[in-house]
Amino acid sequence: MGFTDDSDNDLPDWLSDLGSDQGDEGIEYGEDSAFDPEEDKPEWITNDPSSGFELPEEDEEEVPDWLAGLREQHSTSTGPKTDADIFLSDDDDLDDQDWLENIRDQYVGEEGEGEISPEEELDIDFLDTIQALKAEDEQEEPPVSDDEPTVRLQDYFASPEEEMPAKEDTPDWISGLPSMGFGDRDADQPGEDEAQAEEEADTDWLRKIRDQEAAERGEPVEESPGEPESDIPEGRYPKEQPFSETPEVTGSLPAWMETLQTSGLVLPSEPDTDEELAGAGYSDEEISTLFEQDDLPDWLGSDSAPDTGPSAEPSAPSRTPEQEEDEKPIERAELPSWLQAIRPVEAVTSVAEDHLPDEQEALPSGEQERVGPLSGLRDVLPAEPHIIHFGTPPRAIPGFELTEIQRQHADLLKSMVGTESASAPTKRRTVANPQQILRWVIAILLLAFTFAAFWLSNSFTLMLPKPEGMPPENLAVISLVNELSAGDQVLLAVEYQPGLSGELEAASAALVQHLLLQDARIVLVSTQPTGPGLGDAFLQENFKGDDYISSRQYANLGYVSGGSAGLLNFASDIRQTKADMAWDQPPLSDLQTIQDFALVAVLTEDPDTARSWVEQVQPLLENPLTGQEVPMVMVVSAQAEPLVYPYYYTDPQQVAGLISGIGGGAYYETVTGPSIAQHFWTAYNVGLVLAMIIIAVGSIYNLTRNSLSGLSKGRS
Amino acid sequence: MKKFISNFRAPLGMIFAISAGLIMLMTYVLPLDGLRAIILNIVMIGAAAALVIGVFNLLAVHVKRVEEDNKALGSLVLILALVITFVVTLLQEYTGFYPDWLPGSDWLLTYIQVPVESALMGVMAVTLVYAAARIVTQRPSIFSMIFVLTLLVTMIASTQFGMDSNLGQSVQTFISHGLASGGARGIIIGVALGTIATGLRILMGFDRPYGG
Repeated sequence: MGFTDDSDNDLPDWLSDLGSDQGDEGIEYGEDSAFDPEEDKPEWITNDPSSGFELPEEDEEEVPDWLAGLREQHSTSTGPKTDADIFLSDDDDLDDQDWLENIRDQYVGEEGEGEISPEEELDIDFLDTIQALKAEDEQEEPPVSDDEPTVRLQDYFASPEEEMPAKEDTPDWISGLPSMGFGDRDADQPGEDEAQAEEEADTDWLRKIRDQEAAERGEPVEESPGEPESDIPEGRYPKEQPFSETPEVTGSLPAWMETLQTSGLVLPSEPDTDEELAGAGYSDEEISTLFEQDDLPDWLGSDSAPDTGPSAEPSAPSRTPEQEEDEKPIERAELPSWLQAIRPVEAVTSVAEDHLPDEQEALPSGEQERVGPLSGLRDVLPAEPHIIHFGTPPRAIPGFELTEIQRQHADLLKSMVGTESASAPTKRRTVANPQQILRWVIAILLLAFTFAAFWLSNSFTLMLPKPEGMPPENLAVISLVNELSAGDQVLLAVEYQPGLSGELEAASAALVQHLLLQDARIVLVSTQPTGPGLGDAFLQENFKGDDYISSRQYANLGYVSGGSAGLLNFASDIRQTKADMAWDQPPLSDLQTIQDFALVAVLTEDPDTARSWVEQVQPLLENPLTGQEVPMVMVVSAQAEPLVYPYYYTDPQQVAGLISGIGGGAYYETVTGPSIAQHFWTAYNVGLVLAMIIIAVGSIYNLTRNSLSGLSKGRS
Repeated sequence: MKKFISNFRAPLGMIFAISAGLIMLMTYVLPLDGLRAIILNIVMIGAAAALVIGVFNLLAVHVKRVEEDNKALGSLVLILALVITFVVTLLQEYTGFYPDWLPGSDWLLTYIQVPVESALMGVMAVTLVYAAARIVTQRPSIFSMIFVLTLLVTMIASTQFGMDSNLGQSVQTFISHGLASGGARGIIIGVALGTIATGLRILMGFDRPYGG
């Protein structure tokens, strides 16, 4: 491996791929690839006017179209500069070839002045030995792919060398480069010839591409001057050493950065002085943590860790305990255990990713479930149609292959963009501020007035609303229940969560009371896991005075799994869906289909659940033989009323009646007699008025304060 | 073998999904109620199995958390609550020797789960009142003022005074049944159209929410 090979590694991946794809097998590296730069150079590169190709070095417009296209593609694909781009490349305006040569020229200029010391000669001999071994390896093994460009170089970099002093006129990012042996080359060979040889080697693959294209077009292919490399007398050019020194492993940079340097990436050096840091606009805290490995994405740190192992070990003894103490990673803030406990998804993913076997990592991982009981699992079919965000899956672009380094850059960009949407953790306040005090005052006021009104309900009770103002949807429910006869089966769907059971029970108590007055038979069912228990508790606690309830003559069909699909199955065949029930015994013996119910009442606070019942069950409530339709009524939370009301206010009605919130239950209780809504009515009104006053006063105060502050600013 | 399966997982999943969708669509057109019932039964069994798997998944996550962190008190409480509830419900519902004097699953639901979740709703009520009082400061705009005014009017109309007055009822009807339900109807129509479009895209294979 010679200098040309090194330059190949320094080339951008998109360029390296082209070169390797077009003729790696014909390219010889290192000593064997020595050739006459003047003879080997094709005409279109040597800028020979007689050849018809004129390619001024600084005139980009005369670059062949296919090469210009590649350059444009590269420039457009890079997109706007990010911090990482600036960090990794100091000047993107340079052409890829130019910046590569500038680096070498500057480095040759720095190193060419010195003489070879005996120690360096020993290094050269040592490197010659490695070079010979390397050449043998290359004869036996295929060329190393781009995916592992510096695997064997990493071993070579393991030994530490003396720190290379940076010239004052050298840019910082150049001074951070590892030593690449340019000085040794320059000592043996004039710099101009060496630059030409380097240029030849770099453009050798370009010539291959050009020849291949010409062959495809049917044009005569130029005889490659670089092919008869064996004719070149050995010793005409000195043995090219890839690196005269191993890169500096001083410990001043994080290990991953030093690894990037060894893998051919150009990185800026760490600012040496406080002035430089101050000039860069970093705060003291940022300076202390700017180059810490914890600031990096996990993938970068983990990938670089194995490579830096050999090189990082020798540098460890040179660090003082103080430096090691300073370089300790900052501990992440730990979430309280109770907060971690309610976030199982992250726990699953992190643990699973950490312990994922390599074989499983090779397999494509499916979409991770984020909601429901299967949160954290992968490769599960989504069961929540209203939660899924459908989209076109990513498609592979034919002919587009992503190299490892390109993928790493893409991941880096993705991680940087991803952090933009992440909310910064808020600092926990230890001292009560006015807002916290205000929150506590509001909570205490609401609790105090509500409880006071609740406890004083015996002596101070608000009257229920006048039945004259009852909305028509409430009247429709009352009328439907009045039409029931004794023994009619009523399906009562308990579809609310425990947190809203207070409101839903207050709203539906009058309905159940009315059903019991009509001697209707109640059948409970739910698609919520807690629904059957909630329904049972609701009946037993509030209607235990009724023999029908206390003797548990009602039926509880239990939980119906499957969401909307389960509802459809239940409505299609109630007996088959709940096959474990005693359908041959009362009170279920009279039920064959869902049309045998006289009324279906759904108690829910969720508009989506209400919609599922309307979409899946309501169409099946019509008897196809008689044409009679079983009415469906709903008792919903006040927050769901606007979303359910359109199903009532339509023709034909999909929901025959509607009761919403405690207000609807209070209206109903004016007909059936006081129940839960009456019990809570006074406290409910007091709390509502108090909340209204707090909102009004707070809004007026804040509005006035904003206006006054605006006026004072205008005057000033 | 795994690679072979992974290569064929996407097309097999697509074939299954599209076939199931087309068959279900046909059951609404053709007299194939029996076939639809079979498919729906499979879905229900799968959903129930998913719930069980989810419970074990949750248990495994928190067991691992307890093993890794001795201070994971919340996870420990969750595991204990899950085990106790599971055992109590199992014994009470499916065996005959659960003593009556011991609190059962209904007691756990009524006196633990319902109060805890109701308390969270109470905290949310306080937070909403506080947020509504400060919204003019946080987002001083004409829309925030309209929001606060609408909120106050709706709350007034929901009280005893508002419900008994014709003006309150008219305002409540206009806001709740006119403006809000009008917008809700638009949402429902949009959901219906979106459902149709999504169904067609899945049937044609353009969308593959099942992966691949």
